[in-house]
Amino acid sequence: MVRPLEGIRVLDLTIVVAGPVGTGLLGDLGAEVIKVENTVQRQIIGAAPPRRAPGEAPPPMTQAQRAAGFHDLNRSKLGITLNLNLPLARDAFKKLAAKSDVVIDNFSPRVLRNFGLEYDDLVKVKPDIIAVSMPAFGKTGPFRDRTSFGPGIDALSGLSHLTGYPDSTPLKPGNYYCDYNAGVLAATAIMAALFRRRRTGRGQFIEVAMRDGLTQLIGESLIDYALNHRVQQRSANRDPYRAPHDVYRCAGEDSWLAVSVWNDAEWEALCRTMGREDLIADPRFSTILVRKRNESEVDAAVSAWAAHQEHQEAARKLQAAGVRAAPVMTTREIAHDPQFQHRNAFQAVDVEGQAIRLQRPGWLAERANTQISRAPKFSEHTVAVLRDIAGLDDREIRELAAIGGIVLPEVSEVKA
Amino acid sequence: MALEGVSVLDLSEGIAGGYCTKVLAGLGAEVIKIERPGSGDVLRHTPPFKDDLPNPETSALHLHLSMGKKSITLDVGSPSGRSLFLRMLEGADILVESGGPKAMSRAGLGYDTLRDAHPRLILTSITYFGTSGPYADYVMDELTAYSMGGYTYLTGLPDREPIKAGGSQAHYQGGLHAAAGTLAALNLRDLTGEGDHIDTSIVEAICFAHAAMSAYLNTDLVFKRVGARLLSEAPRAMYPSTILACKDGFIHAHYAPADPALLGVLTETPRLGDPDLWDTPRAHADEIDELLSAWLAQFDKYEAVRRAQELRHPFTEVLDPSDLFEDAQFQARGFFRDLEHPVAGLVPHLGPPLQMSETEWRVARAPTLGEHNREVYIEKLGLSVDELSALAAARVV
Repeated sequence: MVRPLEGIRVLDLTIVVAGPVGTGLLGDLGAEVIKVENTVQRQIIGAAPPRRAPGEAPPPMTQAQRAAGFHDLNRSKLGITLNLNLPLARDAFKKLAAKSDVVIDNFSPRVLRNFGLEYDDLVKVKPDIIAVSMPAFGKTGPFRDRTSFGPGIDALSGLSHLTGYPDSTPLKPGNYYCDYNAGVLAATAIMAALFRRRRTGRGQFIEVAMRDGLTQLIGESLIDYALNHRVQQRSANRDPYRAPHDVYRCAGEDSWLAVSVWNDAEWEALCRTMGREDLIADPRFSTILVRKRNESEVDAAVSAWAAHQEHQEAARKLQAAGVRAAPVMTTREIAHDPQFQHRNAFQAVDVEGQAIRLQRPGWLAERANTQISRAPKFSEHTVAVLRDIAGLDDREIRELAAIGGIVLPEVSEVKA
Repeated sequence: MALEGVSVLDLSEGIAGGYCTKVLAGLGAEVIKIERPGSGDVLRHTPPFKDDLPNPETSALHLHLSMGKKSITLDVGSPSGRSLFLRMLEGADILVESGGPKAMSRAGLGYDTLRDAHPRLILTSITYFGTSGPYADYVMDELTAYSMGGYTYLTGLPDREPIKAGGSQAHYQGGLHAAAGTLAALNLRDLTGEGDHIDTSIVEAICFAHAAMSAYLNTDLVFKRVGARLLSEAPRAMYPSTILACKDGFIHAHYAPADPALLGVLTETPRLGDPDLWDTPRAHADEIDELLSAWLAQFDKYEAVRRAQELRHPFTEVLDPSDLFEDAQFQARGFFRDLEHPVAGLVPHLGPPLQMSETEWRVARAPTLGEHNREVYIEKLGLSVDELSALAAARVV
């Protein structure tokens, strides 16, 4: 079966989280993604080496022992090494670029400028290349050379300001939110550029400034400020127009139920499910306006009921009555959940005989489905890629290895 | 524009569908919002509004999410509305809908039916759980979707109740994944000539965006919320990555990957340069917070970040919406664009989420309800003025 990005080659210089998420998605869709790493192995997220005494070399890890984050972020890619500080390695990179459709990085802008590998340099070897850069703030402006990571951009985009309790510091939304958003956005833009190139024969440069992408997701708060000069504030789970609208502690350790009531009919259904028909006619709760005014009493009633409920069972009962409710799911609960299983949200890839399970993106299709393949070992495909794609001969590959331009995983691959 | 010539019919309502087609419109597709006569998309009726006066043209969500789209009104459920809709489908590449798992098939427009008549059509459905499965018919919203996707459990302080993020992040991610899937289908159609059904789940999309699933699936590790810190509490996990108070607000503090012990130099605090502390930084998180906070108390947020960035510490300011409009980087890049809206007046809008050198992102105001009825019905479908008036009188448009 033909896959959506079949025949597309992506040269991937990205590091940490945002870029690898985007290129992993392109790989899931059938692109040949070549992850280019430096010859010194980075301590990437989720791949911290085991503890060691000062001065002692880290013990070698088998591929299957690597942290889950390693397999996730490097999924569906080939892996090569190139030390781009060396002119010979940069030459090899350009030879690869000449045979590629997309080159992508998420360094701060000065890095590729210093290497001479910016878009203007790449079009000389591949006129229709699509070059993608994912800086934190953009290639222009006073912050362009600042360094920053996803959680810091959550803060700088306004999202942290809106996330938290009314009496707490701003907080961050869960984990790496900014990165995942930028990664999926970049993959989307690349697919649009490929679609366009097929019609015009022209490539282009795409800049996905991570903050610009994240700010979209609180756009309504910004427009509220633009229209009304109102600065929205943190409100935990409260909603200005709905009550109850919160999470309620259930039986069991750190176990919670989310309940959201939009109208009087739903309130009535909630009361019946809780066995509190007495509250239906209670004038303190009969309309949304008074429920909102008496929200702490509303919450007390729901809390008293929830405290004796198992959260998944409580959510099922409320859903059966037509009330918006959900268990606050842990990752363990999600992994065993029948809905996620029904949709095959998690797929296994084989790593040295061990099944590593990873999550696919949020859609199923008749044809344009994602299919995850395993992460590469460090420098696993260096020789094959340089020989078969860049067209280097064995002597050139040996020379690159001798000057530290690449790491040879298995020296025997290159004939002496 | 990148998607020039791509025609999108948008039956969706709400934030997820709105963001999906906002991305498609930004990339250059022609997006025609098909709205209920009289009332239109629920986005138009969702607060806040300009001056807090309910008005279907001035809701913040509508002004933001409907940017660059066209609006027509049509009662697709009526017989004549249905036949107009079917005529419009002839020239459409993509149909986006969010009516619920059974809405399309109930209307006789399920994917199998559509495919038979329009084999190149891409149908993009956006629901909470996808169109099938045990929870497909659950009633949901932002709070419950964010919770189902595992994100609520990961957000908030460890000793307090878990919380949702600000805004409607589950819906936005659902919309983004729907756009990504649609683009995948559009590329595949170039290779095969065949359309597709992109069956998007909002809950799966938000679940995809927290990186905590693979940790459980492969190591049985269940992460939980830890405030503004990174999830891993392993003693050797890097630190700081958190939000701390400064003189006039808050900053996000982050370790310098190349040399975290430089924090001692930045803060002129010898203990923060101690190698022993940096061997197990996460185990010393509280101590680092305390020492760093003492330094931060001297500076306002911009000055603290300026000093940190000078030593290549990736600190950032915590900004609120009013700060963003004053932000030097946004101003230098012209991020906010003043657009004149016939009802809302001159309103600064958000610029593009990304920039493409050859194919500009479309930045244009949201349409008024039915603004493009004449253009679509008369100029495109060839109806006469009288026919359009008759349809309007019958409340079909």
